[in-house]
Amino acid sequence: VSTPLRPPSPRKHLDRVLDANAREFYDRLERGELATTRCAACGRTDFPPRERCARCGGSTEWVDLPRHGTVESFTSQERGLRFTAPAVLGLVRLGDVVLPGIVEAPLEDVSVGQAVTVELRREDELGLTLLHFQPTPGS
Amino acid sequence: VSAFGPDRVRRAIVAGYDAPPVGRHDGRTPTDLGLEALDGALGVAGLEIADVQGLYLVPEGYSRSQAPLRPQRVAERLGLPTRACVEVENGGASALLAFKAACQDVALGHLDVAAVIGAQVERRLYAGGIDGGDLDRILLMNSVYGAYLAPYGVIGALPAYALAAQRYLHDHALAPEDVAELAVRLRAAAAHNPRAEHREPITVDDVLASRLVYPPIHKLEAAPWSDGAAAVIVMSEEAARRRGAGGAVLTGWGERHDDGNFIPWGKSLTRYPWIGEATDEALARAGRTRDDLDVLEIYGAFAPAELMTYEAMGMFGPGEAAAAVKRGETARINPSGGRLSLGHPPQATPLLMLGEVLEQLTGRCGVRQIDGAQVGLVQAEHGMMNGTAIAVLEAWS
Repeated sequence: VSTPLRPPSPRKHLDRVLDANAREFYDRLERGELATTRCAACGRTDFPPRERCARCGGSTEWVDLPRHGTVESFTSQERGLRFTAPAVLGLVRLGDVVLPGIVEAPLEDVSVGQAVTVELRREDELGLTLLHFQPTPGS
Repeated sequence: VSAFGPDRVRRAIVAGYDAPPVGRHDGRTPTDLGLEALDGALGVAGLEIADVQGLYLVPEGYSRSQAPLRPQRVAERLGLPTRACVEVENGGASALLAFKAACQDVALGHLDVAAVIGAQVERRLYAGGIDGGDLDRILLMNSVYGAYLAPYGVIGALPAYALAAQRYLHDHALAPEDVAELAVRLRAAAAHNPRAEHREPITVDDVLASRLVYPPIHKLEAAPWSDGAAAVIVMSEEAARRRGAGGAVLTGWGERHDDGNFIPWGKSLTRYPWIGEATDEALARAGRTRDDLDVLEIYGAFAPAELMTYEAMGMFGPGEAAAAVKRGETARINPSGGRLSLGHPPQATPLLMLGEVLEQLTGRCGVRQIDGAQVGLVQAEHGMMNGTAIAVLEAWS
């Protein structure tokens, strides 16, 4: 090999799991839209987004999600590829669905049921816009 | 069944098991360790390598880059032509699903003697530093967590278990010491198991003083990432009788895979109804009830998850398992020391569990023997309790 080997891109394997629905989800985040799919027939909202409803098999359409929600659960990542300690990984209920993201508060200030507001942040290294959750002031 | 020929379905007998001590095996390959287990298991069954007609393996380890096509490499090393050469992968349940594949081939009359082997040696994964290939593997491990968790840097199952655990403590107002008690009990059981990685007694204070690796899970509430291997010999009832082998017969099987990948998106983080359904299915097939079970090996890679599994299997009500542990009502569960203290090489773990149940049913457990054990159950899981496989075994001779 005459040319030095490049290190793997942070997106290398991730690109292989970003299927059509996931690409649409992240493309929308890139444009500032937070959305998932809802069944046109039975009205069920799904996350992760799907092309077919998991309940009735009906075709789905993209719908915007609320930007305010509550913490379903949380932990802190001691080790991870990105957002290393003391990042708080949270699951947040937004309307009918639950999504993951980084809670922007110290671990000891986070609690189940806490009100949070969505903030979208672009991660240039990944080329993706991700979800962060700010504790809602006054709640 | 007719595709396999006119024979009736036959019962599968677990006739042999062995495993080297769980812990650290620096410098040995998974194949080295797995074949050491196979030799021992064949000895227990009174068989030789040449008697093995099928190999049922799982991929070698999780995190380290491994050469693919392992079954045929193992056949080559053994100089063993076979009628079946199979590799099965579904996370932590892989080895129990490989066992199922072996039992199916025996039941359908395809062969009479099958060897199931699981092995993992990656304790000191990055001891020599991280090179480009390791980094590629880390990124690959990250991608396992899918399009919605991977971008946040998740590279292990622990954060998903921690999210479930946090909610479990919250919903049932459990104190950290309530969960820690399970780790203490499992350690006490492991004291009598020569295969166990951790045998020194611990206290609740020790558990709570250990590092909070992913809140609310402490280091001593998490299974170690161990080196280990195990092998199980499955025979047809007719062949086992002819060869004078004893053991246990598979009488029940239950299996459910929910649709979540680590996070049961939008569903309860503390209740896993599919684990209950698989338990009901396995017991119904065996014609048994929960009360009939003398010994159970339950996956429980983390203490809170183990408690939630007891509840999901219908042994205790929601939030009640920790109190039951404290009252001493769980002595028949994980006499091996469980994943926390026996140690956890995931690629071998379900076979270590199967082996503990077999040795209990055949009265070979010494100090930790459960008197007169006749009926046992093994429960394996994958993802973050996203799917489960359950086997019921009964003493057979």
